Amino acid sequence: MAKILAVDDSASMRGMVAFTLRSAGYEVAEAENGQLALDTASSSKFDLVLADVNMPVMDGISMVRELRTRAEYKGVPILMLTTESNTDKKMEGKAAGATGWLVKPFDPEQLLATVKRVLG
Amino acid sequence: MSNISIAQFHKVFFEESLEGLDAMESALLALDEGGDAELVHSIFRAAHSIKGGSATFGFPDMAALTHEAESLLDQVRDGRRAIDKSIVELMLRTVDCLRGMFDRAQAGQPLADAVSEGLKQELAAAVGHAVPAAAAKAVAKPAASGGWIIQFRPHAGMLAGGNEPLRLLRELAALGQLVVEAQLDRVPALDALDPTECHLGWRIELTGAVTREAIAGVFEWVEDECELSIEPLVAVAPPPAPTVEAVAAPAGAGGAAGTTRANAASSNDSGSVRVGIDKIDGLIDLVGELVITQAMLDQFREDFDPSRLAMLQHGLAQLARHTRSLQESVMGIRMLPIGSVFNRFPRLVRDLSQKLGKQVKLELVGEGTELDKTVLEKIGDPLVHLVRNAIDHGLEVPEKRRASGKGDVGTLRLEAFHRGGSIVVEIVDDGAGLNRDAIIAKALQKGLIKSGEGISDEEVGELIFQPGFSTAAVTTDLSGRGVGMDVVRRNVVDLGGSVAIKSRPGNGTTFTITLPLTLAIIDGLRAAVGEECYIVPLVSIVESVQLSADAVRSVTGGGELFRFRGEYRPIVRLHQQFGVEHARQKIEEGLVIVVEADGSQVGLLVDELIGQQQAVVKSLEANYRRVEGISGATILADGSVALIVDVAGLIRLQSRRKAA
Amino acid sequence: MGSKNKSDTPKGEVRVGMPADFRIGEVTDLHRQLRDALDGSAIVLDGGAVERVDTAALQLLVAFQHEARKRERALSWTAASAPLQDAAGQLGLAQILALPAKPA
Repeated sequence: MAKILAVDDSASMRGMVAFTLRSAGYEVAEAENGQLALDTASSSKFDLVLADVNMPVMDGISMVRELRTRAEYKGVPILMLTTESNTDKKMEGKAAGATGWLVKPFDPEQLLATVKRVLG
Repeated sequence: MSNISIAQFHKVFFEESLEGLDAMESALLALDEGGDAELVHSIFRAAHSIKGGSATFGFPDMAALTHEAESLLDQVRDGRRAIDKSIVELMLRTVDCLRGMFDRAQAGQPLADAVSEGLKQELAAAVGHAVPAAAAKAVAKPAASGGWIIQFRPHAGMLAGGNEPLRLLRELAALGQLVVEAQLDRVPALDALDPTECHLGWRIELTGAVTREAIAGVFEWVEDECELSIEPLVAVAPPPAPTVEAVAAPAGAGGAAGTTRANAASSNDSGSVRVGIDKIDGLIDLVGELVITQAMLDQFREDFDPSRLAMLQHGLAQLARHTRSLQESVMGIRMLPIGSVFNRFPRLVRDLSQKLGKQVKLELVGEGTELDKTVLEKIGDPLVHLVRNAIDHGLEVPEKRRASGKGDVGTLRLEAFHRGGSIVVEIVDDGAGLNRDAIIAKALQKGLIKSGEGISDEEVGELIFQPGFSTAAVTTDLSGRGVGMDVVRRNVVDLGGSVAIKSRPGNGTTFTITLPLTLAIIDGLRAAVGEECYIVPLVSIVESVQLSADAVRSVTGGGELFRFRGEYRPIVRLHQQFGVEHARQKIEEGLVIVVEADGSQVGLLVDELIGQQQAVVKSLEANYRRVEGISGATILADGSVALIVDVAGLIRLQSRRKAA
Repeated sequence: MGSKNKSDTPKGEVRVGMPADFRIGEVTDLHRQLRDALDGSAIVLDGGAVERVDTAALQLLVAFQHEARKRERALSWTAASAPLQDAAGQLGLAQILALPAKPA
């Protein structure tokens, strides 16, 4: 089953995402900011990365930009978890190399539908 | 999948949100004093997280309120609006309101009330728009034609960005019937090809009753990464009734999305601790060491050769060291920085000083000092009381300060630090100090003392801790709320700590709270009394002395006193206190342990000292019942039980007996 | 794969096998193999093992096909897995690539 990296500084949000995905059979790793996510992504290759935008230490946009410079993450889907008020952030994320986004709030069903859509 | 219950994340969400609100408040207060962009950013981030979480976890009223707050903060962040006092004020009220909403959420009550609704309007007005009505979902229009022609040409970098044309075409195929024509004209020669770039294009005919929006939705993520045109299919006869094959709706998403909001109202609050990864990693390392040592010692089980005794001793020493470290690390998990308690004071001090017309500068020192979680939770109220007291009674109004040659602004310092095996928290103000005459007058009036003559400054300080001293009559509603300093002291003593006061007339007052590092383990002396064994906490012990019979003097009423460092102290015979038989009755045959709590000393008579040891405290109350003079029990190495002496409790008992 | 059948047999038959995960992360490697394969007079493609495939991979095959035809190399497939067939069909590339009609 596909391996997914969930990045969010909010423990509840991260917990919900990870729990939902694990329940659906995915293998999930968690990171609480962009810097930790980069470390985790170095030690293991993921099939999908879900990343919050606003995080301390390193935000999601900088993380995506850095991740995309790595050969092994070429073409790997990276979705930003963003809120509807942040239209600019969607585009900023895309410009940094994100594949797409998932708009908060989302419920477990929406999350799974999007993940399935991306992972095929 | 709809059986995934979101409710299980409510607790974590509440915890992190309340922390977020604390951070928001601190940042707002710092901003009040002229802050920077990073502060605004951190405030925004906290609001943003709460908004996202509350919407996700099913609290739409909270999401609506934080949405407005976030919009306002966004304007500040973008520089579209300057931060001013009115915005800080509004945000602080929002923080308070959200705390209330979290309380109600935890109690399972409706979140919105008149305050939150009013605040939402205020925020919206500040942002510059009316609160929007619930966004009307665009009604899906039926397809205007029988199909569409889609021209799709990705930019070269699209594949690397994770958007896969194959996926997009499959999604289109789910909408209707597809005829796909690949366009290869831009594909370079093999040698010139960068195979990770995309040079293909497609012309796609999609037939079926499909809306343009549905097609645009498929391409939503790649709008900026491709050339795209979506045109109605022409030259086709007016479409017949929607054909069957067009019905192929996207699978999944079929189930009702009704969020199952379990009632979290009755969730038992067993409490939880958030632990830093470094602490966990430290534990894992230690356990690893322990396993290695164990394996090493295991070798001796099979064949023990006396020549290897030194190695065995080495192994045992290592085991002892690791066990001790492990214990410390595990205890460390319960330790949290006192900063989380200190954080509430900037707001309190600001509000209070404004109300009283005083100018106060608050200094917080040692916020990283760690305390046991239980101690931390219970120390908040006593500290609040002391801070209120300092601002209310200690610090003077500016005119008065000027008259005594001090600056207008008073200083209030909260400082936490380690001293020995304890944590000390000091509340220091540079106010007027204790008003000796007023306190003596009040004590006389309350009948706490018979005469004001010859009372030392120390005793004056002690008076304010006497039950019945602080009453509504002397304490304003601000500092007192009807609670006296005696309650402050009792709360601290219940935590195994003590409170002392030092007044510097004209220059201020210092309250010193001393607290144990942890409640779970104490270092103690093991003492034998008859056939029983008691643990006396090491922190309370001043000295152990052997007394001769003539050093003790009986007083009327049955009490005994002994002379120690020039003063007479009462003796508490532990065997009498706890009804132990076969104990040594003669003072000269036993040993007196001089102990101290709350500034008083007594001597505990025991048979003999056995040795020093660490005791893991087990609650007597939880396993049996509360016993006066005993704070808990512990299990000894041989499996027997020893009781832990509650020194402060014994001293209280003793003084009550003396008073009776 | 293809370790001994390179330029040392310039006129011989070269066989190129595609990996199970034939996606953007692997295309650079296969790009090299395919270019080397053009040294052979006949090239046999084996797509029987392919489980996952993407646009980048199919585009590479298109470019290779084009180059092979230009250089008049004999090109054939021994096998093409169902996922490979599906993807090529979805992208409108099945005919150009001259995939065998059915998974071998």
